[in-house]
Amino acid sequence: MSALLDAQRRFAGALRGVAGEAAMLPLLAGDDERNRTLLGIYRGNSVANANAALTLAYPVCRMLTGDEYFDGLARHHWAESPSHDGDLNRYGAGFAEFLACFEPARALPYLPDVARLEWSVHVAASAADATPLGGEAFAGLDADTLAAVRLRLLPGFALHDSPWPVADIWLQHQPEADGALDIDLSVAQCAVIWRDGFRVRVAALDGGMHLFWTEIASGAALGDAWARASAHDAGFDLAAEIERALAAGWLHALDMQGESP
Amino acid sequence: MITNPVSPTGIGLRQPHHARVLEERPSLGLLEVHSENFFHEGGAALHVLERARALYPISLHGVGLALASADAGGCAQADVHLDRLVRLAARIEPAFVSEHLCWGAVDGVHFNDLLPFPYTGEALALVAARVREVQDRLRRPLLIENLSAYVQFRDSEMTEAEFLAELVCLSGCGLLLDLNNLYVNACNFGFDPLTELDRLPMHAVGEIHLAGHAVTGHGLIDTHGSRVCDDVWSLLRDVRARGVTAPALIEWDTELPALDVLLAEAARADRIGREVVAGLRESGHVCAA
Repeated sequence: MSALLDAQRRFAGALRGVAGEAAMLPLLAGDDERNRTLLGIYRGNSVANANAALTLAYPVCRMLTGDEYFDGLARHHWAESPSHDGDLNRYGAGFAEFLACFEPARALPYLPDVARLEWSVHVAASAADATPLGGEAFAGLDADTLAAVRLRLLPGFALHDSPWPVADIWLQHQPEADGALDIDLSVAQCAVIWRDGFRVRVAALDGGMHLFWTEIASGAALGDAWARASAHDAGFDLAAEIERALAAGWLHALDMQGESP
Repeated sequence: MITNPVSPTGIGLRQPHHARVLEERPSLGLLEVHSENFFHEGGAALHVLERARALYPISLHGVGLALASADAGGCAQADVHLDRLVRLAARIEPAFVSEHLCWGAVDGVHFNDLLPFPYTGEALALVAARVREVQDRLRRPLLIENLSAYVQFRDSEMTEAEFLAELVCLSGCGLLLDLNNLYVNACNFGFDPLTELDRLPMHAVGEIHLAGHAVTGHGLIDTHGSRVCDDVWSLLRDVRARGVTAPALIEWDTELPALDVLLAEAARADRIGREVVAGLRESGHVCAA
């Protein structure tokens, strides 16, 4: 093995845990005790950088757990799943799965779903900029064409179905919320996440609407998505949903039959 | 005799200052950002950078290429990272693109830190090849920054400045001379910063970094969280007296102060540049640049 690779593997061992220091110390000039302290500073930096990235992506989770507990979660997550990317902004995609399996965090059973929602918010914030579709795009389409059309959603658009009121939890932990928490934890919610200009918005959707938009997001034709949503909820109002999507700016383009999406 | 004027000083552009910089457009030579924070497809931050680019020259300062990582050649991630940098540079058309003389990733784990390595012939060949590859992709020279390190390797065959001087010859890269890093290392490892400065090719310096550090029981720590200290200002005078006209830049990342504090630090760097050039003209010194 190259001497450089060997040195970096030993350094990495010392960064991953105190136990790795012994193999690293013989490579360093100067006093061992002092070098132990200095390696400890490097080890602390790596964890702190990962923690800062998670804090940026998961601010609501941090508020829910408290700072000290979140710091502990970040340490555990980094020990299990360190970064693989030179861009720290991409670190933390697997945090929700980690939380779901992390026994001590079970006292906050909704935490993994809040984390899933926050990751979608994080991704949406830096998704490609795109212009929302205007209502004129639907003008003059006959019923058959309309049934076959596929709606392309704005980059960053995402949906989350949860047994917990994730949209309410997220909304009530935003800086502009009034501070008085009014969350009924017995309510299941489907949340929709989308970019409104440079701002990311979150709202709750009821079951039929969620099913409809899930079908649309997975590439179903408008007619098929409508049929499935109507079978689930006899009162499903297609025109109202399209109106809502146009007003909120969820739609990016219409793909006509025969066009590849 | 001709003595070239010193390029005006810039500051690091950080999120809390975005609005004021764009609205008030303070007189600055350049704005610097961390490249990785703009690797996305879109969003507010990239929009701000594009607006800033319309007003100022931009320096893209990278922290994630980890040029000295020994197994980077076999790592797909390093290629993806370079692709993102190439795309950002094409979009922003920056005045400078810079990276650190460090490693950061091994066996698929990225520590997202600027880590030192032994300055050996093996490392030099690796970093030179990697820098050439990056420059070929960017179609421009890269500025490489000297590192603040807390440990030193027994097997180093040369000093960091000697390593950088060789790297400039082998790759044609430029230097981002961080005077605070030089000072921190000189204090922590007990060498004379001017001796190390003598080993660096001044003609290759494309940008100068100025920052503050913290004094701790374990030595000086490069925090970028305070004003530039007097000894580092004195190093700036030394570098200007050697004819370096490249712009200086005030780096401040932690405990970010009001914009006015950064502007005052930048004005001080400008003043030093003017004073030294005026002194050289008076004494009839011929400027190397």
